[in-house]
Amino acid sequence: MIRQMNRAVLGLLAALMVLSVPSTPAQADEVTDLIAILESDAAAYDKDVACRRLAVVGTPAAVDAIAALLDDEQLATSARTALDGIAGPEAARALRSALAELSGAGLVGVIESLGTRGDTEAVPALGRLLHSADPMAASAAAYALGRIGGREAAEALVAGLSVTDEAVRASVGLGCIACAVDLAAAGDTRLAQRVVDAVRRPDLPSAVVGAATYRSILWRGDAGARLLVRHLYSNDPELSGMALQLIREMPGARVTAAVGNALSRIPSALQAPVIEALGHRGDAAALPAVSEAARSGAPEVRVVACRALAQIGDASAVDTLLAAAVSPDESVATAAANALAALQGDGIDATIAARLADADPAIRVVALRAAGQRRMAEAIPALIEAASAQGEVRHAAIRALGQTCGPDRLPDLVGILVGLSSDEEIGLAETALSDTASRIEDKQVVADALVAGLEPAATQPKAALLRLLRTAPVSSALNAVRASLGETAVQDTAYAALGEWPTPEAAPDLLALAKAGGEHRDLGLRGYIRLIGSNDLTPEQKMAMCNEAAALVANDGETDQLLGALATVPTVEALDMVMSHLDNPALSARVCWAAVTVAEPLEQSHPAQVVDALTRVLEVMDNPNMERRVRSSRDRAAEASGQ
Amino acid sequence: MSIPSKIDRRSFLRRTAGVAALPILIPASSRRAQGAVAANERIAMGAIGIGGRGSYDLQWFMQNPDVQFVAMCDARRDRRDAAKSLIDNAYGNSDCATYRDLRDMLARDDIDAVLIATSDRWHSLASIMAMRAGKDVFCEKPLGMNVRETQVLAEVAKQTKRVFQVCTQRRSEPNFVYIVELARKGYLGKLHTLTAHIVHGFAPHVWLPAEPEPPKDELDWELFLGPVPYHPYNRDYVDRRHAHADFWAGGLHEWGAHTFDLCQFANDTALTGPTRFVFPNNDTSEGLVAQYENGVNLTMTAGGFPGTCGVRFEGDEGTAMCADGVMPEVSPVSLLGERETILRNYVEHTGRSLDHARDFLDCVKSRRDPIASAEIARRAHDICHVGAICMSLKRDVTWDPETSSFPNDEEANRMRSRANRAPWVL
Repeated sequence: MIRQMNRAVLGLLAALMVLSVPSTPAQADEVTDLIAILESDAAAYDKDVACRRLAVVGTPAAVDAIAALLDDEQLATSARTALDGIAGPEAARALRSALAELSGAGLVGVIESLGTRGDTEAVPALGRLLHSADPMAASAAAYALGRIGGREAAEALVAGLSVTDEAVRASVGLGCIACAVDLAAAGDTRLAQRVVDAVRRPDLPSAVVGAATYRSILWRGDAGARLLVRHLYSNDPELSGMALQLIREMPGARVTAAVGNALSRIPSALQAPVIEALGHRGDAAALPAVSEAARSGAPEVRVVACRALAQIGDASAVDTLLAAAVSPDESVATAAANALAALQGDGIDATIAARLADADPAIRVVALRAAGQRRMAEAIPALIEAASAQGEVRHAAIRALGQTCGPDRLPDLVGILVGLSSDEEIGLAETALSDTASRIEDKQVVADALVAGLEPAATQPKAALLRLLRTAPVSSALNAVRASLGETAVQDTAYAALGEWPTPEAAPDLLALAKAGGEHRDLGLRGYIRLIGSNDLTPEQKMAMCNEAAALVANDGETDQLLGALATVPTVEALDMVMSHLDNPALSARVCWAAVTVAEPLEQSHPAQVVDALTRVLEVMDNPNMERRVRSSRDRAAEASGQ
Repeated sequence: MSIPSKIDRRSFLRRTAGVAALPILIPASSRRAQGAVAANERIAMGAIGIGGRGSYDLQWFMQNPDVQFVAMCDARRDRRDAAKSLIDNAYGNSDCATYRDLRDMLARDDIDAVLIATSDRWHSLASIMAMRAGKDVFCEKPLGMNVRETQVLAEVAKQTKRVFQVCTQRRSEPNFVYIVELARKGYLGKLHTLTAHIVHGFAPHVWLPAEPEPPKDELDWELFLGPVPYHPYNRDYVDRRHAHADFWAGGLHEWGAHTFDLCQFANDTALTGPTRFVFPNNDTSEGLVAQYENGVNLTMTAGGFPGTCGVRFEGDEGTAMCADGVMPEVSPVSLLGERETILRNYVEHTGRSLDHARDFLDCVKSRRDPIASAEIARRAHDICHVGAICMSLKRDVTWDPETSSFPNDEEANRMRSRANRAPWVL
């Protein structure tokens, strides 16, 4: 009887029957040499290593020498590893012989090895050991029999349930379950059923009984559904918990029906976990019962029911969830709204779309939010229509458009922004446009739509569009920002957009501002130094910009920022510039960090410079964590330079 | 049934000694309502093996108001004292009980679940002991030292029906979930390449010179060693466990437990695994490739990521990368705009928390399998184990995830397990 989970072991053993003799003379010689070590006066460590090697190459010829170590406190474990690897009757026989000769831990180890081998010939002896006065050996025998599996082992284990020792009896119960799982996997479900039913007795721990009962009900199939429901009511939490597991894991329509039918009758405290389990079960047959709970249960039950509808619901759940989403109970409303966003299946979007112009503003808002979260492109006309309404309906529509629009509808959303006047709504539309822009790969399309909106826009919408241009940093967008620098009404926003421009294309503008001095000098210098970190620049370009910036920095704050930029420039020139600030105590930690960050990529190419710089760094630094990093880098460079 | 007093039970446990042979299974006293632990009740937890990472985990769990750590256990007194202080300070009392021997702690009938944050060698065995003792388990990675350990652990989880979660927490972190969902939901097209961040290194096996053992109350060497084959006491094993083969699973396990699992998740192969491992012709594992039946290649590398534990998924329509501490990088970049929608739908459809500890706690109450269950974890760890065997043999190997064996490869098959030192058997 092959137990499913031991197929690997048994498959291995079958292979070893053929292959366990070394295939070459050299390997045979190695085994001979290893046996000689075991039989010599070699040190225990040498014998340990020999056993470990025999675990891989050992043959039946080595069994006697290895088995002689099974009572050696220092070597028994490695000896068992070696024997475990040798297939064939010799090793098994040696282990069985040791059962009668060993006691205590040595005996326990041998018992486990026999279980690992799946040695059916050991079953009678292991069955007797279940009744041993040594509870440690008895329990080990129970687990070994569970691993070996088969009818004979099952009989021995069931008989062992009568032992008086409580702990051993529990081990035997677990051994029974393991054995039964093996029997069921091999097709002998009737015997498996009898074995686990034998474990369902009051003198065993309820966790063991619960695990056995789980199998017992599972293997009954449809006939177990009523028993499952009955166990839901058990006062023993192990049994009710087991029933919850079965709701998730036991196949069959009758289980869903039985639990669904019972749902309205079970105590409210139990309803939530049962509904949750039904949701995880994923059987739409539970939909009527779960929907009813979402409509009329206690708030905590409604929350769980809404979540379950997200997992098993279809279009028929939409109305239930819309109603729940306007519940005065916030937790219910939130759960329903989330479920509406996540529902999967045919017809759901259409059902929601039909409610986008609902006469009830609260329902309309919920439907609009759901349309946005579900990215219902077909709903965009209705969303644009709703954006012309007032209050929360308009707000929900604008947000939804931000979640829904693609490149083709971007101008519509820009048009809505341009038509707004309240700061709050302009902010909503700006966020919506930003969300939309983030999903569009072609930034030129985004820039074109935004730039087109600038001309007709009033001051506040225009400022929003200028801020948004940074999300599409192409040349035409930058030119639009440049063109707005002279417009008094949006001048500050335009300068801010330029100062935060994300691509090096703006570097000349920013450098010019920094050099010009005046009110935009700081903005220009900060933006310029920030751009040095751009991945679009070569180290040479970065260094050239660092040199420009270095000539302009005027205080420690600006130097600090420059050091951060230098850290992205892996050149000796950058390292020298960093080191030029080493004497500034206010920036010591920052200089040390920048120095090692620049130095690390230079360890192999410029080891002498790295060693020199980091040696100087180590003289001033006081951060232990950073010191380890610096010292490691310096050591690697020193090694590279042959020092 | 007759329920012995705690003293009787502990006394019995001390007498028996064989850890895995001691399933004291009595329902925790806090479990009064349906579903093991009712939604409004606290989950009583114990902690096993609390060092640096364990302290982090402890504080992570204690942020949840429905958790109460009532006990902790460690073979080292300094660790016991530090963890007790951490727990007691959090609760403003001095109630946390401390244990040197995990058997004594597991015998308590008022503990629902345990946090296991020992070092590698104890993870599987402590988890198995706890599940047999009726506790739900949250265990640090790597889950085991070899194929057999993680296989047995998954079997025991299945047999006992306990809730088990391995701490591959990136499975629940939003940025990683986001890119995994990008892969699973087809945003990247047909996947062809997965790249997983690893660290290099395998530790040697050596017996260091014997030193006098410290007093058991200070450091119980027998318990510290646990399932590891005999080693003479030497402080170096305690202070530098990563330097010794039987104490550290290895570099592939260190991050691979996370990153291979994420690749499995993205590739929808969480319950199976690669079938071919291609030796990279070096000693470091750099460039080791695991090949799936569906044509996807998983490449292992120690470089190329801007943060730790990075993964990259490449399909014929896009790519996604994430590592610790950095925002995901995706192509096409417009996919970034889908992040919130993807995460919201993930939460709604799966009912999962985007917090790994919270997912475990929810499952303790609901009796659902956590997101990183024993079976899922076992499969990801098989990649670690098999990769290490491939590196040890210095040749390609073929793996059958169905039978957890190397077809027609005796040499490799014999490297799948190592006996545990008795009585600390599985």
